[in-house]
Amino acid sequence: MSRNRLILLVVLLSAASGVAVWAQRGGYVAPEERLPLPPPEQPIPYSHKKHVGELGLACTACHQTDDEGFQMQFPATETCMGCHSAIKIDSPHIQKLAEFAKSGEAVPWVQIYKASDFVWFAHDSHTQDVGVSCADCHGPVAEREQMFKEKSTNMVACMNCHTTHNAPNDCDFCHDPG
Amino acid sequence: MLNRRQFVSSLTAAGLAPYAARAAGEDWEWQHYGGDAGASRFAPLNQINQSNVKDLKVAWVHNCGDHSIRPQTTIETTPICIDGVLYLQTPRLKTQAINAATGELLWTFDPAGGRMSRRPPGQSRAVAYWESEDGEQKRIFAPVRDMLYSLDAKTGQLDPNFAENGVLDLKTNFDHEMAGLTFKLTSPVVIYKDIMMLGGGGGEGPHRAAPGHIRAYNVRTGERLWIFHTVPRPGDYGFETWPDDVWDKVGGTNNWAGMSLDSERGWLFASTGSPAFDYWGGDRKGQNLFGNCVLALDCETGKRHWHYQIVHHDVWDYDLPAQPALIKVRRNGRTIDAVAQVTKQGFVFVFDRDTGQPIYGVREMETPRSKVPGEELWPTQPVPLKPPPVNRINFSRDQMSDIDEETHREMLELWDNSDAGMIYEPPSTRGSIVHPGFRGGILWGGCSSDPDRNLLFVSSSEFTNRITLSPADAGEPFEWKLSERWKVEDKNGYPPIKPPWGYVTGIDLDSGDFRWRVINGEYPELTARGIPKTGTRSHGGSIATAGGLVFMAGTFDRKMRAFDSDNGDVLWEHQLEAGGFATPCTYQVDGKQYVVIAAGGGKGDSPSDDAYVAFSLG
Repeated sequence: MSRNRLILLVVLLSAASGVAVWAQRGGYVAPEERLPLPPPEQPIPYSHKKHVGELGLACTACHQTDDEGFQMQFPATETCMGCHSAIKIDSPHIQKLAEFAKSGEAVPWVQIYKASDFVWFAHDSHTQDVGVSCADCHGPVAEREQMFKEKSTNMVACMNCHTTHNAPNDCDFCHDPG
Repeated sequence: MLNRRQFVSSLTAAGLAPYAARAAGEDWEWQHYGGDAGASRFAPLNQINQSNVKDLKVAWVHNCGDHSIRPQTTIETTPICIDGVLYLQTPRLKTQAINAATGELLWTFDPAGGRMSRRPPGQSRAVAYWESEDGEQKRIFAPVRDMLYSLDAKTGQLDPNFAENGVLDLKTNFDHEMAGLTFKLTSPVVIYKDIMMLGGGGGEGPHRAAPGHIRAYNVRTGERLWIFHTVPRPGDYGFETWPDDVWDKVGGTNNWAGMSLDSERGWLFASTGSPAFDYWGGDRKGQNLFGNCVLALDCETGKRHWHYQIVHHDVWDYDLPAQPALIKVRRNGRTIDAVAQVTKQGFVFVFDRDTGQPIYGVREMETPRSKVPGEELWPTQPVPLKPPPVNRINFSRDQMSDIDEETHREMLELWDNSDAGMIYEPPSTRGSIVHPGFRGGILWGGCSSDPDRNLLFVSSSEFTNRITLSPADAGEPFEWKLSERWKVEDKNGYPPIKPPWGYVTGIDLDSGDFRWRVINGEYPELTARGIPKTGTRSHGGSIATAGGLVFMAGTFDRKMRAFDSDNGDVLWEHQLEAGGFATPCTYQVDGKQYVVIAAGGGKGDSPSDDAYVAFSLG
């Protein structure tokens, strides 16, 4: 993460939580998060309620991990167009989506949940090996018209879940303290 | 009959490195993590020297091919050079052999067998080399988390005669119930004759942790030969420095930073970390030997020759953070075999190698008492009379950073709401400012030396923590827990104390005083604002050469530098693409001297990378 992006993240978190700036930096017990956060404006409105709750799409129909299984990805625009080349093509939002697809430019979706770079968190080992559900960390996505951060993903939340699942909480299980 | 490499190695291990090079000709190799077995970090090479270092150029770059940016990896490894081959470890702790003159990859050993680990790869600061007397068996020993791999140095294949098909599980045969505990070895093994010795251990809490017993093995078979219990057992020396009933429960006291060898005496030197857990010791009242000690052990038997405890009853995470460095000190007309031990606090202790007595003297300084119920701190702590600390050891209110008004105001507010001011400020329920913090002062980069100039070189930083204790919940392993432990920084990531924030210091070993001290590294954006060069924190240490140079990288400005050994002037610098958070090495093969640094990034705002960069003259 660049210094500017880090500064922006820290400032935003501080403003949201009303705690001192320095308290956001790596405390063993993190400050309380004031959740939920307001939904960010997305470049194209997208309803998880419609797609997941009503149409029954699996999360993995759109979101796949990277090659190594760590980061969950936004869907490629072609994935969206697999349906929307024929569905709701008169919608201005879908037309905007089609423009992205035509230009080859990725839709600049705003990420809601993000693990820090120094956290070794692999989606696949949690969802496939341990059976953690997407909703455990992201909330009842299938009920949400708009996505927003409503579940804590700070270190305390991680450690509490590890305790529940009898998983290690040693520092170097998730970090490389060099 | 010794071959040339064995002859040079034996002289080097005996602390005769300069003479070794002269006896053997021009070429010389960095065969151990610390250059020689005693970790003097001195190379008797002068092809690259004060007059021509300005012409140093990139000779080759080796990309390991396995780094990750999210999650981020780094490289803390110093390569070793044997018979023209560099042995190194990658961001994910594969072991690789490359041609030392060209960087050409010769082989790769992947401990994961091609599988992608979901866990952080861990750190390893070097591999170790051994060859049999007849030269038939040549082995590389590679630590990876809780396993040790014995590899054929020529092929990278596992040695089927060592332990279980070439792999030694370090969690076993440890004289401790290891169920539910982790273990890691982050430093190379040390080998004396056919005896291989290693440290390592678990973390230091706040959970139950493994201890750090030191073990010796048959280098050929992996059979355990002896164990030194760093938490003494009933009847052992030092048992009385703990409560009677904790010896089989307490953890920590581990040698994570590496060991060094005096092959002439047949002695092993090891430095240990704090007992666990490392910020509260109410359940381990006493001095807690052999936590935070320099240990001199007999390689053949594991028996203790001497020890020196540098922190009594540690509650600050002041592990001894680097290999003891076996050096020679010329003082008052006499040459002394010595041991230099740097500390996170920024102290440099120098001991007589035979007796363990401090060469420059030490006083026991009275330190504050703890206000946390149940905690009984030791009333004094050792402070060397010389050299002076290489960074600030107290953080008084008037030392608050003033690089801008907002930072100054925020940090004053924090300071005023904390217990703060002096070194050894005890952890408290209110919150304590701990300075130097748990990353030093000085860290695992340790020190380097120049026996001809009688100088010791140390890099150090200003780093501050705030820690807070609170009562533990029912069922937790200790009565008190950490409710906060974080590095104190301003909103832009700068330290809370007034600059400077990073140094390199040259210490005159005759007087024990500073010969010179310079600020190391800079934040260009602060320089552009007109703020004098501040220095930055650094990860990784320095090396020194007979060319009158001290090389090091490690700063957050991602630069590799050569300092003038005589006065600290920067004679050369090179902008690395990623931070060089490791200690470099140097060697001369086929008549050409190289300096190599791992530039793996992954700390500060440096993105991860996978490069080893070699420099030479033309």
